[in-house]
Amino acid sequence: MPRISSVEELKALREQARRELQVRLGTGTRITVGLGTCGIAAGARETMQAILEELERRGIEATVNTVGCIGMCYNEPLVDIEQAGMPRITYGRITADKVPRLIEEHLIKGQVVAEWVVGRMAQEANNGPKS
Amino acid sequence: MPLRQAASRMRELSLHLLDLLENACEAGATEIRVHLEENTGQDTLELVVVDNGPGLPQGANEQAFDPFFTSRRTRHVGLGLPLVKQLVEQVGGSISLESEPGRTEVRLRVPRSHWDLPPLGDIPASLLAVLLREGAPRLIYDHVVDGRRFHFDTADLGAQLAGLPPAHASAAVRLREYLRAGIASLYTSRSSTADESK
Repeated sequence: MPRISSVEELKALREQARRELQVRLGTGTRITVGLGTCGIAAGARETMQAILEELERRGIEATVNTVGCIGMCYNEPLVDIEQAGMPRITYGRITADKVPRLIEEHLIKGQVVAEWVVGRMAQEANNGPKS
Repeated sequence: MPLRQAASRMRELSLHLLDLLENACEAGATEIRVHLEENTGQDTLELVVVDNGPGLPQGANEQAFDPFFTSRRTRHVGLGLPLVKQLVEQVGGSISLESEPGRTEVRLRVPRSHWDLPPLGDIPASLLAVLLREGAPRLIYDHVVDGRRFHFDTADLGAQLAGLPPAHASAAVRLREYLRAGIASLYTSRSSTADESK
């Protein structure tokens, strides 16, 4: 990390971070929750609710969608996060208690939570059919 | 997930309802009607889900309750029906399935206060989960408790959401609160039904 040597540099850095945060939190964010029987039984509906509540609490504008069985039943509840300019990330076993950290790290800090990732799709592949 | 494990985790009737609704969506239904009626005097709870999907293949109605049966080429049937049948039988209720092209009806009737009947649970969350699907079907929900009625139709959504699509997080939260208030009113006051006139 570069060393900050003046208040002006600090202000500039803060402004840059603020702009980056705005981009990440723009309406380009889409979160998808799998709600097949496997997902429902694993608590995906509660995960969906926790996501909505966390987004509301933090004032984050995002679209939340549900889909049927995604196909990795053993990793339910599954949550997909898509953001403009970033690869689509699929997280597995996202129970409701994990949602605050997921939102904090992925959406606020822009950092993928590597230990929960079960799939990753490059940005250019996002426009194709879902597997 | 094993069937027994899945069944043990479906701790609310609303989760079974969600599963039935998801099945209807996967089948391609564009309109789903849900009628939930509770009668405390007769101690009954009746749930009817009707969708306009393509229906099951002819003669497959009985097989639909078999967890190892699927007709995915024409209609996706998950574990929803086997699980709900298991529950209904456990509490001495009845369940029926009628299906033809353009109309599938699942109807179950159970003793409302049976010890082993799970609670209704979070019905608004289950309805919301369906409304958050991309290309969500029209959902018409009627809930009756001892004659008091709450009616909800996604065709009337505009006013509740102030123009935002349901999938938008803040709109979804608003919609869920609207549903919660409407359903809660059925249990609290005879005069405060959300839409008694319909």
